[in-house]
Amino acid sequence: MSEQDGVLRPQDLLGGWLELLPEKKRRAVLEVVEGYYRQRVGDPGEYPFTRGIYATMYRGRRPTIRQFAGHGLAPDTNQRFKTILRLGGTGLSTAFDLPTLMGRDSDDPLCEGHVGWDGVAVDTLADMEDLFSGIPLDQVTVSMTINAPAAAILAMYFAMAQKRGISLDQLGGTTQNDILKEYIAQKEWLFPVSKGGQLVVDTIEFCSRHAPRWHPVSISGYHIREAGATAVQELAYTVADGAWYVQKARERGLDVDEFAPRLSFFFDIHNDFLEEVAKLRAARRLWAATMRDRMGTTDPRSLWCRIHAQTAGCSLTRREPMSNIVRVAVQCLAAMLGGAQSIHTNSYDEVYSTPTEKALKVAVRTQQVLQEETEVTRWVDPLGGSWVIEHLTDKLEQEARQEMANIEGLGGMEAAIEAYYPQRAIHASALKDQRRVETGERKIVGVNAFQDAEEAEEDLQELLGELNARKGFEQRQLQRLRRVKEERSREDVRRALGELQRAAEVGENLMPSLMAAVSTYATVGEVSKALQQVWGEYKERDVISPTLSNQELEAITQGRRFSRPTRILMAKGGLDGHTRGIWILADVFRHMGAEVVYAGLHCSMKEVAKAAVEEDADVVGLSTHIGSPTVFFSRLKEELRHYGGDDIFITGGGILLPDDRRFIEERLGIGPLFPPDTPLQEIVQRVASEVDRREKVGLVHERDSRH
Amino acid sequence: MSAIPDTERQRLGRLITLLHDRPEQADDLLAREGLGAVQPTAHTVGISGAPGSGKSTLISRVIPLLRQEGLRVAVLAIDPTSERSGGALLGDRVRMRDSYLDPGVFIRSLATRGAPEALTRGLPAILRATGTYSDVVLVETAGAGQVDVGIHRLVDTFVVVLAPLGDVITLMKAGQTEHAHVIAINVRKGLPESDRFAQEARLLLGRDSAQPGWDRKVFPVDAKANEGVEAFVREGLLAHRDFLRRRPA
Repeated sequence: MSEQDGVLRPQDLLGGWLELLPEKKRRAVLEVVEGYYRQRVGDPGEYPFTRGIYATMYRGRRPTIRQFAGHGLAPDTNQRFKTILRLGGTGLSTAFDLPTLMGRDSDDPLCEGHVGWDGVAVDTLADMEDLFSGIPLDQVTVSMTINAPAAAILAMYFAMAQKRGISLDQLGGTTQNDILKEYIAQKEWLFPVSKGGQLVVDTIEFCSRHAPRWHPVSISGYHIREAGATAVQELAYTVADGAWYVQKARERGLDVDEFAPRLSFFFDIHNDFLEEVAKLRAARRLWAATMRDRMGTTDPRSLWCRIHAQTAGCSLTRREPMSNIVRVAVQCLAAMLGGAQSIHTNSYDEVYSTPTEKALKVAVRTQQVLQEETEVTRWVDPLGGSWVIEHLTDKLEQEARQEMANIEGLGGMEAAIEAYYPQRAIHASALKDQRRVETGERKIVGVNAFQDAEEAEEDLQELLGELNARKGFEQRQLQRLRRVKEERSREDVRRALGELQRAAEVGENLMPSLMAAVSTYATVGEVSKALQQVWGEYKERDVISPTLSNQELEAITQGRRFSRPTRILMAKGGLDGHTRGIWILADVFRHMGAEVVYAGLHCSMKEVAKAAVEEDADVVGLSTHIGSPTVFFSRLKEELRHYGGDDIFITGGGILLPDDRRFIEERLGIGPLFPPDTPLQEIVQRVASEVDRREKVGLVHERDSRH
Repeated sequence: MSAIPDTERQRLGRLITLLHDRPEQADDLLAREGLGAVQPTAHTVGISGAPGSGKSTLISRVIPLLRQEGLRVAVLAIDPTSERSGGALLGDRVRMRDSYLDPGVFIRSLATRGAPEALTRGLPAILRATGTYSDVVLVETAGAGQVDVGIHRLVDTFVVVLAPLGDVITLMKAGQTEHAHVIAINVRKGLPESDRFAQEARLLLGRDSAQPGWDRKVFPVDAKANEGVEAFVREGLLAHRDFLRRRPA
């Protein structure tokens, strides 16, 4: 029976064992086993949903193949969407460029080098119209990865659909719209925490009344994990974030069952195969318990933890990128065995930029091979009952509960974020993991194990061609934006933004006035600024204090010291929020006797240069993971010259294509530069040697050495 | 609004390093820069308080208000040097983000380099140099303990920032507030303790005469929410500056 419906239970396997027992004991044993199973595991589709939210799982519905795509201008991404649908993708997922994610316009000075780079640039409704032109919005579900300005972007999507005559209740899709994890991990924020949260609740409320098929929030552990969190932290913070939104929506007077069935989750699938399978099982159990016990609902649709899974971007390597195909396939299998409802498989070249067409095809094929050829979809929770899996599921659940209790102890998630608790905890985990990789305790094939000295760059040729073609996006988008601004009615925009501010001041649900504002072709940046004028903006308030031990610092620096208090300014390029690397280096350089100044996130190169001169920096270290490194480094050099800091030693690192690196090192005379896999020891030695060399040849500022 | 020219900005940046590295040669170094005989006219303000009391955040709110008055503002933000390595992580600047590009603002982070009282080596000369290129110099001490009051001897106006914790009487005994011309109580909204503390501080600390003719002033501020800062600046900092200028030499 159970083999036919794809579900096996412990009772099904007990037959042989029970025969070893005397007749009268069999019944008792069976009762214990069944009781435990019902209570802790449960059948698929039954509380606590450990084995899946549906009774039939993939036998009833295959996971949606939802590939994330976006680059350049709206018409470019529109073409890519159509390719995905042609290949058999069953949903769309939109990647916006960093300026859009930050709620800024393409012509904002801080956005230079970012426009259309790692996602599609959307400034106004005109871009949204082109993005989905010719795509049947009432048939395809659309997911949008957007957070701080999510309400404005969703308003644009709704306004665009209405213009095409499609009513909101026909629209199916998801906005990520999980602002808490931005403060916790990804750092793409606009407003103070409470106001950011209020906007999320506005979308929940609006959708539950007007767009019932829309999933307003996708509560995301993905970015938390990518920032270096452990599986336990990912689980705990994600479920705690979800509980916070539910609580806030209830305080708004919404009935839980009115909106909770539209909440979904987004998890990262990393390399620890069995742990990741167990993690998704534990997530379902935790969410169901949270909703039942804390929020008091028993409606199964409110208890379900619907999961979108994406393979782990941070597990991919720049070296030998073709090996990433294997990593992705294995992670995807874990997502399927864990019972995810939809899956994005990363493309093997995703470490460099959003995927090229060829890599995208391999990614889609990976899911299709697993779904169609491996037969794993015949079974429901096929690893359930494995001693390892059940043990890991229990363990992750228990540890996540403990961490959730810690958050509650601090006064809940909002208070914990204000206290920087989850941020620090993730940073500490990230450091620990980085050390494990550096010491070889955690192996990465082709990087710290089995390195191939002859590995050439030719793997990248195709990628380079496509990426170079992207360099013209910025100018084209600026022209588009200029044209839209000329053609719209300035008076309408002004009035609509004024109305938006009024609504924000009195605390109304902002969705209607956002839809009205974007319909006048007000830009994303104008909307963000209007709201910031009323609410203020979220500011980075703290430098994460170092957590490397003295012993570890010694292992990295190997006794190397600066000969005097060298002044080092650490900065990030443009809008990029990846700070782990520079914080670790700040700690390392301090240990070597440097005075390290941190410039803060989201600085223009002009701000960095002015700070460098005021701080009389000997060294400026610039880290860039997203956007165009050539733009950042050449602008930095130019601005330093302007402020009279031409003799400052510029170094840096991040994601650098070989061509860009050559250009920066050879043509701009900047460097050495360090790609992300560079061991800290090497950075230490090379930076210290360059500082020493400059001192010897008198390139450094006049110092003690002169006297 | 007034600005610090880029050439002066660069010169000052470099000069501070020299004075910091070699305080014993301060007179020579200043003379060489043509500053030997120059008497700086800038109003100098020392801002002290325990770690986490909100000094940097308060300063970030004060800068724009001083700029509105057309004053060029220099900030010297002191953070501790690690005893073990001799290095330092200087993180105060981040909180002053809003003023990074203002041409009339100069922000410099300094490490204590073993100096006592949450100050740094060469500070008197650094203050002189900085005061030559600006109208107001705000010195933020490293997180200070109760006995770290040395800054008050180096500046015109001495400000103590207090977090509303504990009780005021104990604070009075401790000595740090004794020299303060202006006290900012950095309250936190929603903390009932906070308001009581501010009230007590106003009553108990605000009556004393800090120097002949100037009664110490106490302001509740909420630096994070940017509330009460305007009164602190106008009735506190600027009023004390005017008092000093009116006072017969």
